[in-house]
Amino acid sequence: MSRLKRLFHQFGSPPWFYRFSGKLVPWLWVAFALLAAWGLYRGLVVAPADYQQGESVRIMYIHVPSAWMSWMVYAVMAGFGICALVWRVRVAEILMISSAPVGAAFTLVTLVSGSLWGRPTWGTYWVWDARLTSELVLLFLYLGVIGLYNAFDEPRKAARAASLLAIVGLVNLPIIHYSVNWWNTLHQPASIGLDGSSIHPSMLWPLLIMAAATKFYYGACLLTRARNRLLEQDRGKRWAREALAEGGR
Amino acid sequence: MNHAPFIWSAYAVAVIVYAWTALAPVWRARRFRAAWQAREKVMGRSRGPTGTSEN
Amino acid sequence: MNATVTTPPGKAIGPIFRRDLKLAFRRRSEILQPLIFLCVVVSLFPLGVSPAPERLATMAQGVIWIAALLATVLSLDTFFRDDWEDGSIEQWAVSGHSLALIAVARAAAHWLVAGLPIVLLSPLLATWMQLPGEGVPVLAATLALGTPVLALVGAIGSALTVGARRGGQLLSLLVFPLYVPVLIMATGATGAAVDGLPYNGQLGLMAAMLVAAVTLAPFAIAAALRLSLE
Repeated sequence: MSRLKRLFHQFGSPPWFYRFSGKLVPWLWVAFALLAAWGLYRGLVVAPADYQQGESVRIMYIHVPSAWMSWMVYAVMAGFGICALVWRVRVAEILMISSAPVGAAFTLVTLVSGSLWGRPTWGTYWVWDARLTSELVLLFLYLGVIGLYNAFDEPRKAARAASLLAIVGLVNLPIIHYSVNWWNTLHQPASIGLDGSSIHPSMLWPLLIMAAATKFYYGACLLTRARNRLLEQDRGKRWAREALAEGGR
Repeated sequence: MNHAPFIWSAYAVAVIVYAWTALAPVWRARRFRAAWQAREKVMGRSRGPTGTSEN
Repeated sequence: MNATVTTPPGKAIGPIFRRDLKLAFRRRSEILQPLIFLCVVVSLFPLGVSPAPERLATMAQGVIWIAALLATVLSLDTFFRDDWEDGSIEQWAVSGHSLALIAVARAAAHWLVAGLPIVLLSPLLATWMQLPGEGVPVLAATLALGTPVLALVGAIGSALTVGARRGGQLLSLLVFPLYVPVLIMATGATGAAVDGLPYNGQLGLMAAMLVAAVTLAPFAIAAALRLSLE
């Protein structure tokens, strides 16, 4: 067996995954805390105010990384969904459904921070702007995946149905994104954010640091949730009983 | 227009949502572990010290 | 795969298509209900918003299309439910026939009894909503191109929820986000026609969506039906 294949099988084994992720999670939190502290310091204290938008541009350092993550998590979730459906890896099923609430949280924060950014820039909390609208549709897609999962009693069947829905959603997302952009150009185009071409390094760096921080946050949340689900589903099995009896991590 | 309230509320919402997303599973794990251990104690007493269920 | 199956996989299409039509015409009220619902929803807008022709005209295509979406989801709720309960899906799955082709046959039959009437009703609805004359044929064309997409995508949702508890309420949450592109392109095309602008692009994109839905959705439906049997 090749090394890669062995690694794949190890990941698919719940006890191994549980132990490995238990070691990983604290480090992910540490990385997230350090990066978030650094990024927020650079974004809220060091970075200058925008000459057009003034201080409100600082909302960008939470809004834009959240928006990036909301899309990335959906793609990752659908990727786990493909692994779950094609190879029937149970850990992939669990990672898939554990991604959905985290992705929905990123989407929610994007929407709320976007609308709070909109008030000082557009003068209103909500504009049917292409990005906010796509983000709203994305939130509905996440809620659909979570809702479908919860509608089944049997967790494995639920996860596979939700995986299929996530994949259908992934195929649709580019079409949705494109059509919403096109629809937006029909009506008054209004977009917040910086025109990507010339963003000053003093603003770009905190943005990138925060983007890295959110990735560690996602990893830590995802693994914590996946570990919970594994333990709850396998509570009758020996490895889970041992892990539960240990008390600690 | 003063922008500070919007910035602070945006960050406050983000902190609340992210903290809840991160902490909810931790609390859930704690509750589950406590419930499991309580049940195990009851089961263990009724079945004797070596009693382990087979499922 | 099975030696006892001598018919090619595509052979089931015709009988299933005919069976669905026969069933539909035996239960006429089930076909009529979504259509009545569609008319009622559209007629509520003049009452709720304003009977002024100029105000109705500006939102006519949107109202008619949204009502069509709602009616389609209403009619799709029970799309696979009966077959699941009486074990037909299981029979199809073990019969050696292609589940994807069966799904195409069922969706085609469903469109004929639930989608086509919407297209035929559209001139009436357009008159109610004071849609300018130039928009009427384009509205009918978008409905003709769009309702099959709605039926196919909705059938994925229906197949996913068939084994679930309280599938009906869930179905709308699952499929409405996926209907967004169809809605945007259809109302965009009709709006462009009303304004005297070219609308070929939008219609072309809708045709592309139809082709994509016909080729991809059956596999998703088949996969969802197989999941429901596990």
